[in-house]
Amino acid sequence: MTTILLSYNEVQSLARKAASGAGLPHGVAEEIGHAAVWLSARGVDAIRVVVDALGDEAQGRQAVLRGQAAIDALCCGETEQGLPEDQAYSLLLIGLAGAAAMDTGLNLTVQQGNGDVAPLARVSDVGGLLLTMKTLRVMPDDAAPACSGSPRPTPTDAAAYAAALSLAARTYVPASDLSRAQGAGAGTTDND
Amino acid sequence: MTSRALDITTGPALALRSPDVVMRLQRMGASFPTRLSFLRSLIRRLAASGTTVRRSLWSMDDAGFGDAVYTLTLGGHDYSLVAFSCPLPDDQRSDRVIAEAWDTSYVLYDGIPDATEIDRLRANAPRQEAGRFGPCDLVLSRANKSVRFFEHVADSLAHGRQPDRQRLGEVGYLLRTTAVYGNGKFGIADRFVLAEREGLAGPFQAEMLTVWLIREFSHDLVEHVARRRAPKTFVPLAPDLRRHIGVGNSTGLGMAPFLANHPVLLNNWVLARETALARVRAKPYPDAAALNRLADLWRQAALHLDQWSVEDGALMARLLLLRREWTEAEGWIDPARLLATSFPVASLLDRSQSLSIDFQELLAALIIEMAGAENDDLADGMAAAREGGPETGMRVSALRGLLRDHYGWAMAIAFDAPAETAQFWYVSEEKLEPRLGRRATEPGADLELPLDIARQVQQLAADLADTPDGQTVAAFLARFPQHRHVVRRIQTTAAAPYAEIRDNLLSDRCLPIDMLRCKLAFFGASKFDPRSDRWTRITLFQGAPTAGEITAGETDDCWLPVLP
Repeated sequence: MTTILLSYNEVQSLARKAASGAGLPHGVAEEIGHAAVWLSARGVDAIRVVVDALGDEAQGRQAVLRGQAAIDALCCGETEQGLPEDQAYSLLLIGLAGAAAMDTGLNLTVQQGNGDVAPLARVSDVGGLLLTMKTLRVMPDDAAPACSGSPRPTPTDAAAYAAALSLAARTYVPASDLSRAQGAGAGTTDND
Repeated sequence: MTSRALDITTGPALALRSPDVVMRLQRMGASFPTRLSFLRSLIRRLAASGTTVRRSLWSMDDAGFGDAVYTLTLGGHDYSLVAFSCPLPDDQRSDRVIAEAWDTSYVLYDGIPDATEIDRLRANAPRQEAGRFGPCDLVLSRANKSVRFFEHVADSLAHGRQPDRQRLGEVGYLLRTTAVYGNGKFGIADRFVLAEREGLAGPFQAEMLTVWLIREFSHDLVEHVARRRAPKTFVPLAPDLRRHIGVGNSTGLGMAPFLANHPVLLNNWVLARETALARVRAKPYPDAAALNRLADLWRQAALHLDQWSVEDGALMARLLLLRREWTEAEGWIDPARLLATSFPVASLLDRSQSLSIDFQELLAALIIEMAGAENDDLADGMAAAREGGPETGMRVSALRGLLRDHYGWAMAIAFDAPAETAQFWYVSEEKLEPRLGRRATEPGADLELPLDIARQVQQLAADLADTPDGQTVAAFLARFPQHRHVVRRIQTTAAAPYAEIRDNLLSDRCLPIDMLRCKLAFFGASKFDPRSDRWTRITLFQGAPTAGEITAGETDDCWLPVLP
């Protein structure tokens, strides 16, 4: 597998643009960008996760919107636990929850099948969580230090990168003659 | 939710200017650099740390093509500018962002690069966006020569003469950057790497350091070419002229949406400046030294205005008016008279309301300059962490209250008038840069960028109208996820009064040049030279200390350069 080493800023902006290209509202696409950063700091190829989740667009969009709503409800205390049933989107939704935990300071946790809980703020490798995850819930604050993740993002699969670029490109507009005529550097000699 | 807006204890006596006044495009487009501008902060930090710049590599042929490395230590870290100079045919020299080759290219490197790293950078830096970079690469940049002026300076020095002062004053730089990339672009290091570094934690400090070192490189390069051309008659640049040669920059629409996309950061910049202004305004009796300094700076500003001419008719007309107003108002600042006046700065600011916005903003910048170091603490709060998500537990009634209290300006815009939606912002497929289109005549409006803040606010207000007061934002966003972005903005703005540009960015009256000038003034740019309403040339570091002078600290010319 060929991989590409992105910066966090690249991971975030590409995930956000790909989500926009897949038809998600801007504010939700921004959350996808934050989720991608959180995931890629914890051993996950987040661009692959975004592309996989949004590849089937209508279903993926609805799953993301339902998941974001569930996380919002958790964060504001309207519900005590929750996560959509569809496991195909679980990794991206854990990313959204992880980013929300970092943002809010809430002790959002993954509750596992055996009853154990894993605070998202302390997770350093997301992969293992998926197999045993039962639900998300907010637990009382604990004073344990948060894990800031790896200094550089997990490498990105080149095919997923290309697919994300393709989704992002749906938001681009071909340059017009007028825009070329008015852009920086236009209309003057640059040999002055 | 955590508030990330700058928290400044202003005290009850400080009267900050209203965001309804400050955050209008026309006034933003009259911005001047201040002591809080980013290049000024950098100069002070470099001076305070006793920085010395070491040129550890200089491998140039007679024509000035080759490699160079400049290294300095700041806050316990080494940083190196790795510079590459290449031949470039005139027909490829373009300030357009779509250019693919440049006279010179640069990387600010985290540490001191060895030969292998220099080889890696030589293979990538000249390719710029087409290259690939890594975590040791902090900033990527490129610059083209101001060809005729570069040749004039080289020829003059080679023949034992200093360059023509008038030409130097008119151009002001040997190299003109067309991009200075930071924060993870093309694989370079993310900004958080620098956020905890002493000396480079403030906004755009690594980018400013890069440009300052590029300026040093440009001075050395022209002297090298001249020396090799005629070693027996060569003379180096006179120190005062060397100091007056800054770095040019061409900036276009790519920079304009930044301010709208970083509302908390924008707030922190403007709040720091406005707090500085309000602190000085609140002084009942500034001492004689301060008022004498005000008079000195007034005269310096007058000289600067006389040396600042542009081809752009609209700005030149404004400059002519400003020069006249500045001259006519000189009687206001007689130190003896001001000494006998209580709250003299407030009095000056109030009097300026009858004159042009350009005059008002130049006076505001001058007053901050007059106060000297007493406001430098504010520079430390101008950076911002990432902006948070929406506060989902807020009740809809509270959100409505925020909208009412802070977005009256947005609700007042009549979007049913075609002129209010005449333009749209989009990302160009050609270079992935923001562009501005005419809705009636150009395709792509269906893909417009969400810079229509005021329109989004009105759409939100419409959907809030039938929502129960007690409903949470979480429940509201579950029904209306399209409002997530604007809800977050509105919640943020409650603690960040200067976060929003209080104008309609879709209107046919929106001139991107106003946003560009605002941002560039915060960088510390001077000599704004608009080439249309969408792009401008500027000069950075003109009049600022060179590497050989940096330990002496700032000069008055750091604010508004004046050719001696």
